[in-house]
Amino acid sequence: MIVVEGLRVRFGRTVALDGIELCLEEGITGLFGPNGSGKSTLLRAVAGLVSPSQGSITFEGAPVAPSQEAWRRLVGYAGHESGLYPNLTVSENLELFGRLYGSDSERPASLLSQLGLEGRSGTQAGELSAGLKRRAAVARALVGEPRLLLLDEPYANLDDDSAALVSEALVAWREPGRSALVATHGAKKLKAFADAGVILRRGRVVTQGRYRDPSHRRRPFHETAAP
Amino acid sequence: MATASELRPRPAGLDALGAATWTSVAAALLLVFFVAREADVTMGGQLQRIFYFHVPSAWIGYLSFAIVFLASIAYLRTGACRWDLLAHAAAEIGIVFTTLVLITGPIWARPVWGTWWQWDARLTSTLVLWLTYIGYLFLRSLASDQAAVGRLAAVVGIVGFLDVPIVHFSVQWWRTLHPSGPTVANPTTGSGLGAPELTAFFASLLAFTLLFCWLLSLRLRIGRLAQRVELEEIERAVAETR
Amino acid sequence: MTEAGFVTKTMWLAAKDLRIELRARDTLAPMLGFAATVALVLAFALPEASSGNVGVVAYVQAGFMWVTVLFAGLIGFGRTFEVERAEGALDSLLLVPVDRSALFVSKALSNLAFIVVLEMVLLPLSALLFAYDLGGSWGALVAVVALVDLGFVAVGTLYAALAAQTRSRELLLPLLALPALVPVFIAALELTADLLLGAGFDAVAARGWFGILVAFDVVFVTAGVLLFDAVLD
Repeated sequence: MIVVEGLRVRFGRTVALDGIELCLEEGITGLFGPNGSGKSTLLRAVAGLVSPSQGSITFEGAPVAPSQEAWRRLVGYAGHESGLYPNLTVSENLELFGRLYGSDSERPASLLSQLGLEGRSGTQAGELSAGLKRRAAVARALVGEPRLLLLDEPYANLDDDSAALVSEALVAWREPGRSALVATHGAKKLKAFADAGVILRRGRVVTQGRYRDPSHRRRPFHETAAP
Repeated sequence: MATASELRPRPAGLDALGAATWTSVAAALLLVFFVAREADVTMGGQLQRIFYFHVPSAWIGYLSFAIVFLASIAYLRTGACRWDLLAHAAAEIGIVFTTLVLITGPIWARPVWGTWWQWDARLTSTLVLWLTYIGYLFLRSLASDQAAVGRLAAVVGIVGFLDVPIVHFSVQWWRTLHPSGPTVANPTTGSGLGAPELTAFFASLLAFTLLFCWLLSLRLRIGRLAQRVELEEIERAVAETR
Repeated sequence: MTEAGFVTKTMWLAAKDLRIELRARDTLAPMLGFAATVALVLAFALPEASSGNVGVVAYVQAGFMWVTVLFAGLIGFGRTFEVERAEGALDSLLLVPVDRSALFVSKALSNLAFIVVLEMVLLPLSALLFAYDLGGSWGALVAVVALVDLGFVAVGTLYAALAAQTRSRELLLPLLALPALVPVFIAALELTADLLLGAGFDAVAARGWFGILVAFDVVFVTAGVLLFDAVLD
């Protein structure tokens, strides 16, 4: 469970997040909102890559503590950049991070096939097309079997078939006790299997709720409205 | 809307400190120019009086950078803004006084040694110190992420100060083992300082120390007010976007 | 699979940097090129060995050699974090469950490898071109170089990480690192000049400069390990 209380993040005089209150139960939560609504900042704050100006974030009751190894072990993060070494091949990238996370040695290869990247495992990450790079970034975030998964636009530049691979990888990852926060423009792809959703606008939460909650059936999530 | 200064009147202690500072500065000036006797010609005669300013400036420089060092450690341990502000304020003042050291030294050296600059141990290590904290202030103005400034500056504040003794010893050996041209005797001791001169010297030291404390308090106050103004502006900006 | 320890993880990270460098060659190549041009320009200022005072020539030669290493080294160190920035890999790295000091040590190791390669090219080459007379003191020179490199790399890596987070990292790295490196530079200069003048290892090791280098290395390797966390956090 991710609990965010009174979270405020500002960069100089720009307020990126302005009093976020969230309580996200386990499972996959979609994070929707127009550009500049604060999705990426929220993900980075939960990952511990941005320190809040105010407020607190906890995961399973423990505060975000990027300085602690034990805490970092829980997190898998893929930002809007790929987070890969462009001069290492896809499998070298995955193997490096897999080993650093101490995960099973079979894990990189199985993720590669799960995300349809087997044919590209020997290609340097910098030479991948945008869509392939996205999938490789998702694979990298999953390699440590994180309990808290944070993905920023995993569907960007993906056609429907590749998007389905990402969705399948997320569903395969989902287990009791694991939480994901997935920021995306395309609510449709995620809605098919997400457990909950949050809509941000201008750094604030507009709506949040679980999809299986009947009260939200009556007010379904729409594709993100224009600002 | 209430301005920051209305919310926080200038503390009375600050005015008292200012008064004490300027009284001791006036007293020190009188002692330095009218009580201390003229030094002998090898020390520059009347010119030697510059050491009543030169040496206390150097003391304030070292004091400031020691404060930067301690405040930097405290900031990294606690993350409390006030330590960062203290380190920043002390570094700025330290640079001012170290600059004074580097200016007053050559003014004396030119007529007495016949040269503006000697690559002497003390001069060189002061120059290295000055460059280190110039780098520190540059870093503070160039850091891309304002939240990171304090952390990065603290690292330089610590590393720079750890380097001071090593620089000092290495530079000292460098020139004492390979002297070229006249070496510099310690300018204040061994030059026949009598009671009047020592009185003037310690009065000057006290005046500089009080001046330092006063400047530091003012600088800290400015820093706190700036933070407050910044926060108010953010609050206003946030209120407007809602 | 059991989890690897600090040393193993550090080695993986350093190996990663070296593998990337072998493929991209964008750190060592500029370092070597820069060193070559600096050495060339300095060569014009070198007094002729036959004409001048032997002691002066040894100092100038030693000084030029270390100026070249220092400047070329800083060019290379400035690129320490480029591979992490290229596609946001730094974020991935910062979240990996590895002690932050392992990141420092791995970066320092890869920088050490770069500087050692630079010196392995530069030293024999300048010995050849400028007819250094080292006699049997090559071993002593290696010891001096090793001590210098350690302190240089510790300060260079720490400040490179710091400068990488600013708007003007090319300017800030030398501005911060050069004053800090003054003791290392003087010690390197003095000891190398001694060696060029025919002193043996024992004579050099007995000099206080050796102690200065050791003290510097101990202080700044420790400072780097302890403070790297604060730089990256």
